[in-house]
Amino acid sequence: MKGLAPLFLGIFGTFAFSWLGLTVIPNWQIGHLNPQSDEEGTDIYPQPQSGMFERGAHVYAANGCIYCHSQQVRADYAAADIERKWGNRRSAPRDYIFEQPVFLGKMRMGQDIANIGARESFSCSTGWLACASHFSYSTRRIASSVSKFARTKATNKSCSCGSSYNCISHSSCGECKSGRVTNPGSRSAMASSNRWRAADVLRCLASCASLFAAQHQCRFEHAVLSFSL
Amino acid sequence: MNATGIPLKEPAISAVAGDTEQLERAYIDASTRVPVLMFYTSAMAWLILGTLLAGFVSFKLHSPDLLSDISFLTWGRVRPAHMNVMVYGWASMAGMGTAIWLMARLCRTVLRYPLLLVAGACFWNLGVLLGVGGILLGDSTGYQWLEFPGYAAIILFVAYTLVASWAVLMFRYRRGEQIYITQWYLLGAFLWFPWLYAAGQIMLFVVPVQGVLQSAVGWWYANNLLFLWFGAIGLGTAYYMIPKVIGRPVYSYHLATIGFWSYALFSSWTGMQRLVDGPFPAWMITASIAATILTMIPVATVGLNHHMTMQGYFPLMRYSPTLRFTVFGAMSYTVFSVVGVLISLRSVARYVNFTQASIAYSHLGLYAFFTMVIFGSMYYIVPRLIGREWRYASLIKLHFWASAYGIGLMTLMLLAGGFLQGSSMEDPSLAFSESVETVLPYLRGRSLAGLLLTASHFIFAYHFGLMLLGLGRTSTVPTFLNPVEAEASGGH
Repeated sequence: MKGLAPLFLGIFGTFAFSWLGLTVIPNWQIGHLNPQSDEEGTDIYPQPQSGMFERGAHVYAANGCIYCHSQQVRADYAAADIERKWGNRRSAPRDYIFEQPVFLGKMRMGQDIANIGARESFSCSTGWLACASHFSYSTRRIASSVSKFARTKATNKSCSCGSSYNCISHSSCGECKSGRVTNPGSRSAMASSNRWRAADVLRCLASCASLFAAQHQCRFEHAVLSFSL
Repeated sequence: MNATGIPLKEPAISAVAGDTEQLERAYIDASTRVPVLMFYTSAMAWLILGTLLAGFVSFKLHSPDLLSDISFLTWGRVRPAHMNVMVYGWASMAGMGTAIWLMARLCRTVLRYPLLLVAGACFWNLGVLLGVGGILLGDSTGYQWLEFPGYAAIILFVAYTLVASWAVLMFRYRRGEQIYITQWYLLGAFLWFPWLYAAGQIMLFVVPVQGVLQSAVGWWYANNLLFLWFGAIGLGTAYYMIPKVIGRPVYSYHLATIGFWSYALFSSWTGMQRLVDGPFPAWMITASIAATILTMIPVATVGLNHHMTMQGYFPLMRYSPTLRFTVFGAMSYTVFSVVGVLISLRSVARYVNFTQASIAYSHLGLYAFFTMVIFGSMYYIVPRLIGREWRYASLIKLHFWASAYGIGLMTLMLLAGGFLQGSSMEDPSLAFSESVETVLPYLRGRSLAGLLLTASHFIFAYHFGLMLLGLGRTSTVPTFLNPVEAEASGGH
């Protein structure tokens, strides 16, 4: 029996040390951040998210967007994220206080999309098209679902995937491959509409909404970054 | 820790074992037959499923149109499904199978309450099945390595409680005062896992921590699962198999002690280096980088210990399948750790963060190290459970070389591709899409490696199936990879 007590103590002790050090203490340090406001107490940042955002987050999690897209901008001394205009400052813990789950991401087979909603090229229709094309059910089906909702909105601009999204790694971003945006109102698109349509519209709408909301723009740089990194 | 706690003699006994001792071992092996084979068989089924999913994921990455019409076969769902099948289906179940057998052997007691273990295996399978189904149907939680929805997680936990309570009971009934180093690792793994899993589940889903801390908890969990669950079982198994097969005690128990405690202490602090430059207090990341560098201490001690034990016995790898797989795995542990240190240094992490290199790292740990060690242990254990020897030496050789070349090629491809991808990504004068274009040829190479691994797994599954059906050789001599020459005197 000799030597057994130290063994158990050691096994528990080492792990407790790691658990306390890497989860409990950080939680005590940055686990209870509040939104900040300007001097007048107006313009609070970040704002609690809408229900639509939550639905979008669910879509984002369910479909594994996180395996290609990160949502964090690194500082300019560390990386080219800011030069790539993925944000105009580095991300800070306070940006994410209302996010559950949080999608920092670990892989960039696609661009960082922390601030995608704030980009000039991003509008609901382009963003939505891009999202829709990521959902990979065949191109025509996407086209039909897009056409239903966005017939009036979808522009014939070059596909938003073409420049700002890379499509190589995605399951059939057909639009990019053919080099054009499928004409939303075309007969073929309409003819192929089928059971995927309703679901696609809902999914894309939700995830588009979440991306719109996911813009960690820095209205309060000093406030957000007041926690020193 | 006092040195008498771990007399590292036990595995050496085999050479001079008396009849009673042999008989006792046979009894113990027989008592573990049903549960261990159940764990192994389930693990093999998951391995085949996970391999198919992996091939699918890999091909889809460069050939995106493949079966993209079906929602549950889209890349974003199959990828986590593959990973979870491998982690919880294959690696955990095979690891538990080996751990149970080792525990029974080392505690020198017949396995009590086998029903507890059988029930545990059933529940565990059910949990993995539900979890993977949930992921494919769009129920993923969105946390890497913890994608299983809540209902599956609870079942897994129940299953685990059954298995672990058994392991502790086993330890309680052990005979003899000696606690061999393998038992340390196994006991550690069995006690760390529930804490880890519960902490992960509670801090992410029950009482979720705020914002970015979820990511910190997520990576803390993933890294500790890799080190303290799989790593501990893998190292413990290697500490048993190497001395056992060559019939010689472990070189130094002092080194083993240092290795164990430094491993427990330092590897549990790694994880945050994966969040380098992210929105976190810098100390968290720095602490993990420091810990990662310090893991060189256990690597050096464990590596040296295995090396010195093997000294002069390396030629035995020509004959013993177990030894060949295990030594490959043990060496990969060193490679895995060195790569881990390299890619965690800030100056390097800047390039490889967010690239395929991190995939290479996980595969090194989970496959080149852990899975190869477990393959080795299965080659040792299964004949002892079934009473037959492996049927074809050629199939074992094929299995080994396909696995070794497969994982080697995959690692090289992903590391090289990852570095290039990262350097393109860090060059703002290049369009982002360039970085993806850069890595594509390497991803095709990875698919090629995947084919090799697929072949190796099918070969092994076929061979394992033959064993299960009782079609192994009836012989008192284990299956050697090459005909044993006169002077060679290796155990199996």
